[in-house]
Amino acid sequence: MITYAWRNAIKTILKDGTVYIDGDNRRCTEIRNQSITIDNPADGVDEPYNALRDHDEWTYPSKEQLLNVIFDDEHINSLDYTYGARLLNFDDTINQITDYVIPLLKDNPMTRRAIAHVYDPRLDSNQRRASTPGIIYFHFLQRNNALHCTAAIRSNDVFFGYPANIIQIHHVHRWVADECNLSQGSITTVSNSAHIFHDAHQDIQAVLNIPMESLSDDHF
Amino acid sequence: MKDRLVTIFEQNPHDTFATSELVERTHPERYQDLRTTLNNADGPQRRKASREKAKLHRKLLHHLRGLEDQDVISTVRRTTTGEKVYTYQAHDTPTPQDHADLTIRHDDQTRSEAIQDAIDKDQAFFSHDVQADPSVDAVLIDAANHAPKELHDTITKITSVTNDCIAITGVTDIIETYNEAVINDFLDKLTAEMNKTGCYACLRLNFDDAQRTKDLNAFITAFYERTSSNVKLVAAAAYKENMHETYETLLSEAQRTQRKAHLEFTNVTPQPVFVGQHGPYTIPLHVWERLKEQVNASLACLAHTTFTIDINAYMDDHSLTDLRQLITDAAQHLYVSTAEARNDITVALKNYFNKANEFFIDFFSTTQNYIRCWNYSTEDTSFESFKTLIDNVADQTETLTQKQATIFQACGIPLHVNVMLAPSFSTATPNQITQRQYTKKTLYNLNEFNQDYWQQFLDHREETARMFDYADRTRVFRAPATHAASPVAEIKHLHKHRALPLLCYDFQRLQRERQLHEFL
Repeated sequence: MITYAWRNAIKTILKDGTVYIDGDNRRCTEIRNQSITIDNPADGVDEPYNALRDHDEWTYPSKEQLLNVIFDDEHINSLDYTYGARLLNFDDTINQITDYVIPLLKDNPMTRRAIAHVYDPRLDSNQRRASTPGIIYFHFLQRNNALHCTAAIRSNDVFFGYPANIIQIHHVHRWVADECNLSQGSITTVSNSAHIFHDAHQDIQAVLNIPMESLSDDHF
Repeated sequence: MKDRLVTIFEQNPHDTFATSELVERTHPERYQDLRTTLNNADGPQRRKASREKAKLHRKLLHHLRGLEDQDVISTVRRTTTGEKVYTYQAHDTPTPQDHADLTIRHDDQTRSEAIQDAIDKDQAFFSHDVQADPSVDAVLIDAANHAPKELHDTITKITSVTNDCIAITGVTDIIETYNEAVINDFLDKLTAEMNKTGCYACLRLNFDDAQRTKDLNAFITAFYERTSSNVKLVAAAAYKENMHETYETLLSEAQRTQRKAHLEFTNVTPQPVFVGQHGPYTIPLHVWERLKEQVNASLACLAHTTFTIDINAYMDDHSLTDLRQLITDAAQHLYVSTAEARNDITVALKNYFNKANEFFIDFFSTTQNYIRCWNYSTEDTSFESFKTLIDNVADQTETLTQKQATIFQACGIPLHVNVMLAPSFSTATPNQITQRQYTKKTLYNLNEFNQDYWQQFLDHREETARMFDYADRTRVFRAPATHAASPVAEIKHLHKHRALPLLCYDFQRLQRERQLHEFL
């Protein structure tokens, strides 16, 4: 299911996206505000990750690394940011998940306010900053006894990033659902810039066997 | 050691332990001695104790990391000084990871077959094991942001986590701000520190920035009088006639003391080139431009670790294709292995520098990892194929590191790890590496630059500098001159006609040639 969504998201970008050169002088194809909803996230969540992990041409982060950066509340000094420090120890003051989202969902099941922010404008809204978080916020909504999660992704390299992002979002989502005694509902990602780098075309062909003839530079 | 640690945790399953508490429990007597020294002693003794304490911490962190990997213990938090606090894993405290229901597999940080094979045959080696030893090869300090005493304190602290070279820029500011006594005191202390630690210090003196030639000349004289050979001076300038006297001072002092004069030509490389034991260090131009703008740039990591390949030995039983594979594997390995080790270094640094997180992010933003080549011949016919290979591999390495950065960034792990190719110095090579193969020749006068030998030598050095992105040094052995005007004329000639980033005029006479002259 997730591999199907991932593959189709990439195909859609390559087929319907717009080609542009980004700030690092890299050629990309982009679709704005691409939305992907996974109804049953537990079903095959690791498959895209495994597909990328099985290749020798690059080192894909281990699952431990992916989950550490989202579940570890410590600031890792050598990284510009981590999702975990932002979610679970924002500004060294609040664990947004355990101190706010989970109690809120328990106290007010129909709430629309269960949101946890990753982006910190005090640090990230700075032109000189080398990198800022891709995932901007997580939003949780309980409907029909299931907990649904939406993650807004500012910039999403759909080929190399989505497989990691969906694992990270899935595990946070399932943790909150378990704590609230709810079944895990759908995950929706909304990617403001869903893009593919042209220098990854060969890799896409190797991993997903998507023919690159579908891409033309006519849009440029 | 691991067993002793496990016993401590098993006997106190509900307690937490900071790293220093564990050091105290595992090395009670040594720790007590060090504490006494740290509380009572001053100066060198205190610094020595401080370094030993850091060493104990580093050793223990290696074992603690192993126990964490085996899920025997886990980190619960950090202290205000950045130390990790550990607890035993056996009790049932639910963590977010419990919900993950995962078979966590560790990243494969083992070396590829090609790397391990080369190491086993003494054809290659790493400068240090980054997983076990949270230290770096070279750091950069901007002296312009420090008073000499403060600068010396920073150097003393940073040598505890530095293996090879402390590179210092902004020296001109110090010379023009402080009096002779203060500067001499700084040079004496720096020399003592480097002699004690075995590190190199490399001072970059930018002639272009200098306002007062008199101060420069006095500093150069003091430098050669007071420092030892593991303190280097790099004079950085685009040659100008009005600096003639300063060049004469530099070259005559180097000749008088039979030491080296390093000259960096800023018209070839605006970014600095430093000299360490492992080889030359530089900073890519775009990183240097950014560094100059950076608020926290007074201290930065220049190089994390180094993989050195003895090309002559390796090519005995390998092809150029094998060499390409080895370099690519090494670049991949350096990316993954150094990425994780950085956090341990920042913990060690936090023991010394009470800085905000932003400081440590910036600390690594300039960092390169080096793949160095030893004994690649610049004289035999294989130079052309080696040059083609290096050009090709450099492109491949850049593509690889860019791809890795893209992947890690896309996964929410914003890492900036760079890998650079550069030559190695003999001072980096352990005994098992082959003896230098290329021949050295002494220069006697300017006219010799017209000879075929020197033309070809300098052509090759220009090519080498370009293919190594200016992380290169050209060493010229110079016979004693009756007056420094002759070497200055040679420098002027090289500056005008050659694109060499860093020139080393070495006034140590070659042993082989001295014997020949004595015989004659």
